[in-house]
Amino acid sequence: MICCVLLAFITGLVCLRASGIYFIMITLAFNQMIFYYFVALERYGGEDGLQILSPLHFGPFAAPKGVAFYYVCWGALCTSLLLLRQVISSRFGIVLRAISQNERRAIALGVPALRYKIAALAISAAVTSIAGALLATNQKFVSPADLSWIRSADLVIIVVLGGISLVWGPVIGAIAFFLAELLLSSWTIHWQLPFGILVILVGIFLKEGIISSGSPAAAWTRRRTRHG
Amino acid sequence: MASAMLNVVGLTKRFGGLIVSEDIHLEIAAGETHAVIGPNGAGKTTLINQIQGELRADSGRIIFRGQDISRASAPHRARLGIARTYQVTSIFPEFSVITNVALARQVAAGHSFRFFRAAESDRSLTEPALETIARVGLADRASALARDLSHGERRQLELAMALAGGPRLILLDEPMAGMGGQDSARMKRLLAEIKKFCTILLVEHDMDAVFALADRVTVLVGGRNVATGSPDQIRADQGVRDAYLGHASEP
Repeated sequence: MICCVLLAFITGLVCLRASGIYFIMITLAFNQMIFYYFVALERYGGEDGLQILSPLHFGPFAAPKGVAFYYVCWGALCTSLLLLRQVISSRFGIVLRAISQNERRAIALGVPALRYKIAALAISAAVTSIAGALLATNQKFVSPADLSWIRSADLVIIVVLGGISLVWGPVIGAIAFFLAELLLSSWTIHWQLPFGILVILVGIFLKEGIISSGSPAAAWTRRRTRHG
Repeated sequence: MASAMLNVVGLTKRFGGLIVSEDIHLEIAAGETHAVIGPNGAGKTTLINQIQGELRADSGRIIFRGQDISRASAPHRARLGIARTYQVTSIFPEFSVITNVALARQVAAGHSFRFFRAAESDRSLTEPALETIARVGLADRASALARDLSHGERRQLELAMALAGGPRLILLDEPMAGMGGQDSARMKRLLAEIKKFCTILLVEHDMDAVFALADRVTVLVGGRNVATGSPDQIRADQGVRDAYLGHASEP
């Protein structure tokens, strides 16, 4: 996790100087760089990946299996959602949302925007690194395939589907992603074709994702947060 | 001069072959309201952008309270006490009025790397914000979303945001632009209040407001400072009349 945060910090220093499409391209370039680095690492299996044979430990605790592991994942999800919700309403979160609405104004008020964007990137890296650790524990196998841009694209699709305006948007996105994969792949082996069309439609017609900040569900959450 | 709030010395800025600021010298005393007037394209907004830090000057120095800030970043200058408003109102449309102002206050109070306590219910931010909002006359709109405000109200909000951090110098870029008679009269009264406790650099086309509010006036034409003086001197200056005021009074 610390490694991921550090990596995010260093790449962020470069990437966040660009914006919009350039930011995406530079991030992708770093992604490819790291992908090929791990492909070239013979010791850890190179392109074939590495099977995790010995039982995993987290400090003195053995990694849980089966149902217990399922609950650990649930716990991790709920904890990160609650923490992130807190972060979003904090001083830091307000500044971050301000930058996303009107960066020029935020800078004129005295916000060194780059620092906050890097911090946001680092937080997102921390959360993603936990997900990565859980994924590896579950698969008992790590391979560069998890570093490929296709895996990154899956994550982006999840976010596009779910929407970026709410903390639990991506959760809905992930559910939608795997449901769609399940349903469409039972219908045709070329399930990615209708799935792609679906993603494009969501991108065009529901700009803020399935759950948007204007939806009744979002209004309900807002009311709850205000009174809570 | 020791009591100067701002000294601009030989400021020059080019966009390609176009000179937008040419050797501008400007001195604003503490407590002064200094108006900068001139025809469109004279480089008034560019001057504000260079003082605030959005643009870097090609040469020349900007000295704020005795400190050379020519190389300082825009956020750094803001934290030293330079606030601004934009010609086209610039606010956070998805936030409420109070959050807009509380945010300005929060940024001025120090860094915002505080991750857990909810900011929107933090009374050390909301209470002074409400005070500032009341001062610009928006008290009954405090919980409205900024994007739902009228044009005049947005201008008032932006002024509140500039005031919230307790600035030493406010750069106002055409605060009356696009306002009807009633709104601009209110803005004029508001500026007359603010002028009592804050140094102001005012860029404005509304000559009534300029001559009513300004202690001194600088005339900018084609990026050059052609005259500086009291409102009366500027009104009487033949060169200024030819260059600018004559045009303004044409139908």
